[in-house]
This record gives sequence, structure tokens and C-alpha cells, in this order.
Amino acid sequence: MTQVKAVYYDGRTARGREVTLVFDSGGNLEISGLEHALRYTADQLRTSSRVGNAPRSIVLPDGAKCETDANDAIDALLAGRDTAAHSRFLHRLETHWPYIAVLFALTVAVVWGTIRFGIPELATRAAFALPVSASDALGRGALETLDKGLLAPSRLETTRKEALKARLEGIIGNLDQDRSFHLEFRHSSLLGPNALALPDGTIVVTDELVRLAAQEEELLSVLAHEIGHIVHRHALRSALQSSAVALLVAFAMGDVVSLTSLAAALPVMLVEAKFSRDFEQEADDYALRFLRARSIAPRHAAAILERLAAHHGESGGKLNYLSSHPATGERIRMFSAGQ
Amino acid sequence: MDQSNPLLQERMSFRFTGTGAEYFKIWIVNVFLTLITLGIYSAWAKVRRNRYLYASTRLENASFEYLAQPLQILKGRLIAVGLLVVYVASEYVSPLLQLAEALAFLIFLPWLVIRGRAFTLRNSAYRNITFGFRANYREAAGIFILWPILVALSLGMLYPAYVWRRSKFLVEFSAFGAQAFGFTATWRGFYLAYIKFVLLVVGIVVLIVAIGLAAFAPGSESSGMPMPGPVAILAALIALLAALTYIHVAVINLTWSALEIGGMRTHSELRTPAMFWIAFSSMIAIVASFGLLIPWATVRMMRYRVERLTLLGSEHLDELLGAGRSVDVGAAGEELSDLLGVDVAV
Repeated sequence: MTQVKAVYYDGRTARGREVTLVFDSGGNLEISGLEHALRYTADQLRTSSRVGNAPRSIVLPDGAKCETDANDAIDALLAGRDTAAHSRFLHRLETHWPYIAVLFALTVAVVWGTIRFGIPELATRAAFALPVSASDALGRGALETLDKGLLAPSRLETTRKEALKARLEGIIGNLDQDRSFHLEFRHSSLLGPNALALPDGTIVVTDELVRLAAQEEELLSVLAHEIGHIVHRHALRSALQSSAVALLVAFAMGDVVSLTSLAAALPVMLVEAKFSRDFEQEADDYALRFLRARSIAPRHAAAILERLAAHHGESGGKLNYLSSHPATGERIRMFSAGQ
Repeated sequence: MDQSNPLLQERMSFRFTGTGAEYFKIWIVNVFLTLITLGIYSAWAKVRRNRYLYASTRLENASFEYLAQPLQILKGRLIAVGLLVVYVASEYVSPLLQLAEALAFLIFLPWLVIRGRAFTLRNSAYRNITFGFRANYREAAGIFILWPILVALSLGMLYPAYVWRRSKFLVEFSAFGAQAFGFTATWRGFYLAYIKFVLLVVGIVVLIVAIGLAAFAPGSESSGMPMPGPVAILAALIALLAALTYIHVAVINLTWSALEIGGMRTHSELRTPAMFWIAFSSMIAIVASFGLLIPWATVRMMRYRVERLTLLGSEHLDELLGAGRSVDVGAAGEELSDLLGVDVAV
């Protein structure tokens, strides 16, 4: 026999009455404390499952309800019945720190694995399943936008520009059957020596980079890196990956307080920095293969990287060409070793 | 002034008994099971989360109760996701079809709001009496279609009146058992709050521009376009967050101090500095913990909001009547408005 204190609400008024619930060994209930004692058999009762230490209710067949804080006593009563097995299991998980620690580790592993391997893999497949026009659409208007802010017309002499363009495009023009690559020269005090790959196959080279390069091979090695970005569809993959991560975070952490929801987006940025380093690595690998295939010594790539590092080290430009890239020292070593 | 009203003698505070540690454990189990079931469990997770947060909210030793069934919510979510997929997919069929669907959605929006509110309130109970929401489509269409058009035509001047009218609508069609809620706030308070908010924002902008001009005064070396320093940007963002907190708090206080039911009245006394501190420090904590402190932040915010709410005239609580059995409401409306971010919380 189990005795439990509870409050009885008949559902017709909000008035509560303090009652005592007396359960016999079969789970049958007698309620005392009202005008008349009430009796119910065990199968007439619907007991809400346990969530933490929150009070729970025993619903009677006539719609009345008993609310009680005596969670442990109720659990002991229900222990023999399989109707409560599912919620007892959840409650066991929710109240034992060792289980919580395991579930926590598994959650971190699942999220990490999905972000590190699952999403990049899916994004790569999706990006290559989509037609080239999807990449082009992403790059449409990009150059016009850049020209309005970041970039200014090139200040190189027209003859030098044309000659350089003709020679370099002769080498890189038809690398990919899907699209052609072409060069644009621009001046930018903000970007300094820099090159940008647009998803539609346009590669923007700044005047400052042209001046920094001692030899045409050095310029070519930078172009090869940028072509690597385009060939591997990094812009599209990056867009796909970012949206997938944002979706995953929103979906997993579903109940973020409205005012603080912004904060949950910040760890996503850290993930994206990692994605972008992966892309740089892939572009470097492409550049190395590109140079080897044309018997150009990879030390040219190492040389221009060293010069870029020295340049940015001196001026500390705001939009550093190297900021999102893997450690420059590592990259220089990779190209030096790739002879 | 309330003290002079003989009908509102006793005052009673709402209490929140949930703890961050307890909710963290429920939350992490929810997150894990949702992840490995590819989202199916999210319906069960929502029920467990709401049951915990509702049951932890207490008034005079009785707690609130969340009654929705996970399968109802799952069905609602599947319908909502299905409709969204159809909408996104129609872009590839015909942009015209998508436009027609967007229009249909606009016409359905009032219905969504009604169904969403009805589902939530129908599944909320206190002392074995459920809440309810009884607006019809015509009334909701006035609020969610006609009013926004008026606000646009008035270039926003009517916006405070709209917020007031919307709160009034949401409150006055809500009921607890057999009793309808009354709403005593007038539009004046809402205008006053929004005027203060606008002045605050204008002040912040003027200050930032002044600081910016001082930093880029003629003679100082500036190359290219002037870029405000990261400190100035951060300060501006924090000031803006404070202004947003102010209006958020003001609207909550105005609304929750205007609820009347069965001779009782609620009173909400949130304070902007406290609310700002809670929101701001929670944000930092969530970022620094990679989201792990979300449950702690949820409980902290709930506790503050609940415990600053009082019921005046609580000696009348026992007199409230139940409404008898009411019809069930499907979850599709609620889930769809959730998914699309139709936010109508009072």
C-alpha cells in the first residue's frame, strides 16, 4: 500500500482540494479527503510520464485530475507496468550523469562527423551533379559588384596588359571542357597583391600582384591556384556547406531563446574557416599538378608565396591574401618539396 | 492605484522552479535522439521540453501543464515540411505557380495564426482547466492582412497602434476555461514606448556618426574609404541591442500588465537593464560554450520573465470555471507558422 499527498481538481472549477491517494498492491486507487471517498481500478487511471522533478498528474475517467509532486512513489507504483517503459527509459537517461556524459560525447561526435565529413562530401556530390550554369549563376554580377567597391580600373600600360593576357590565357584558356577561363586586371589599394577566382571562370588579378611577380611563371602559379578553386567548384560548395551547417545547427539546437539565437550562429563561422582552409589545400594541390604537367618548377609558387608573406608582413593589409589560407610556411615547404 | 481597488487585494507572484542542470539533461537527450532519428524525434522532444518548462512554472503551488501529443505534432510537422517542399519545388515548375502559392499563403496566414494559437492554448492547462482561443477568420484577417496594409500606407506611423491592436486581438480571444481574457491597455502607452525607442535609436546613430567624424577629421591620414574601427562597430551593435531590448521589454510589460480575467489582473515588471544583461551575457556564454549553455540560458530567461509576473486579486482564483470538453485542434497550423517564423507570441 502506498500513500501519496496530492491536489484534486475536478475540471469544473479551478478550486483545488488537498487529498490523500491510497494505492493498493494492484495499483487500484482510493482518494480520501473529499466529501465521499472515490475508488478507481488501476486500468482506469492515466498517469503522465515523468519529466525531471516537475509535478505530474493522474487523470481520472471523469476528467478530474490529481496533481502530485511524489514522483518517486508514483514511479515505484508504475514499475511493474510496461505502459510506462518508454518514458521510464527516457527518465533514466535524463537523470544519470554517466548516461548524459555518453550521450553528450556521442552528440558531439555525430555533429562533428557530419560537419567534417558528411556535409563536405554531400556538398561536393551536389555541386558536381548540378550543371555548370549553377556556378555561373552564383558568379553572375559578382565582377560588377566588386568594381563598384573593392576594385578600380587597372593602371597597367595597355600593351603590357594585352600581351600578358594573351600569353596567360593561351595557357589556361581551355583547361576545362565545361568552361573557359579569362583574365581581368584591376587596381585595388585595399586588396594589395591579390587574385580572385569568380565561379564563372573569371580570374581577377590586381596590378599589385603583377608588379610583385618577378617572373611570369610565378603569376601562372597563382593563376593555377585560382583555377583550382573554380575547377573544384569551391564557391558553390561553400554556399551549399554553409547553408547545410546553418540548417543542422538550427535543427539540432531547436530551442534557442529568441534574443540569443544570433549567438548560436557564431560557432558556424569557425567551421567555415576550416572549410575554407580545406578548399585552399585542394586549390594548392591542383596548382602543384598543373605546374608539374607543364614542367614549370613549383619553386616559382614558393617564391611568390614568400614574397607575398614578406609584403603583407610589412604592410599588414586589412584584407590579407593569406589570412584564410593554411600557414604560409607550410605551403611554401609543400611547393619547395614538390620539385 | 491597484491597492485602492477592493477587488484586487491579494497579490501573488508566478514562480519558476526549473534548473539549468535539470533542463540540460533533458535537452541533451532531446538533441541526441533528434539527430540520430533524422528529426523524427523532434516532435517528442518538443513535448518533453514544453512539459518540463510548463510544469516548472507555478502559481500558488499549482503548475501549468502541456498536454499536446507527440504524434499530433509529428503529423503537423510533416504537413508543414511537405507544403514548404511543394512551394520550393514549384519554383522549377513555374514562377507564376509560386506567386499564386505565395498569395494563397497570405490569404491563409490569418487562419494559420488562429490555428496556431488555438493549438498551443488548447494544450495548455492550469488546475485541470485548459486555455482556448476563439477568433474567427474574418477577425484575424483584419489584424494580419488589413492592418499591415494600413501600416505600410501610413509609412509606419500606425505601427505602434498595430502592435497594440494585435496584442488586444490575441488576448481578448483567449480564454481560460469559461472565462475570456480582457485587455485594458490603451494605444497611448504603445505610442509612448515606440517614440522613446525611436529617440534612443536616433541618439545612438548621432553618437556613432559624431565619433566617426571625430576619428576621420580632416588632416588625419586616411587612405581609401573611411572604415569605422571594430570597437566603434561593436559599441554600436551593443547600443542597438540595448534599444531593441528596451522596446521588447516595454511591449511585454504593457501587454502582460493589461490582462484581466475573472476579477483578477496580471502585472509584469521586467526591467530593461536586467533583461539586457541576461540576454547579453547569455549570448556570450552560448558562443563561448559552442551552444552547450543554451539550456541554461533558456531557464535563466524563463525564470526572470516568469518571476517578474504577478497576479493581483488572486483570492478569486478558485472561482474560475472550466469550459467543459472542447474540440481537438490539429497541429498543422501551429507547426507551419513555427516553421515559417510567423511569430505572434504575446
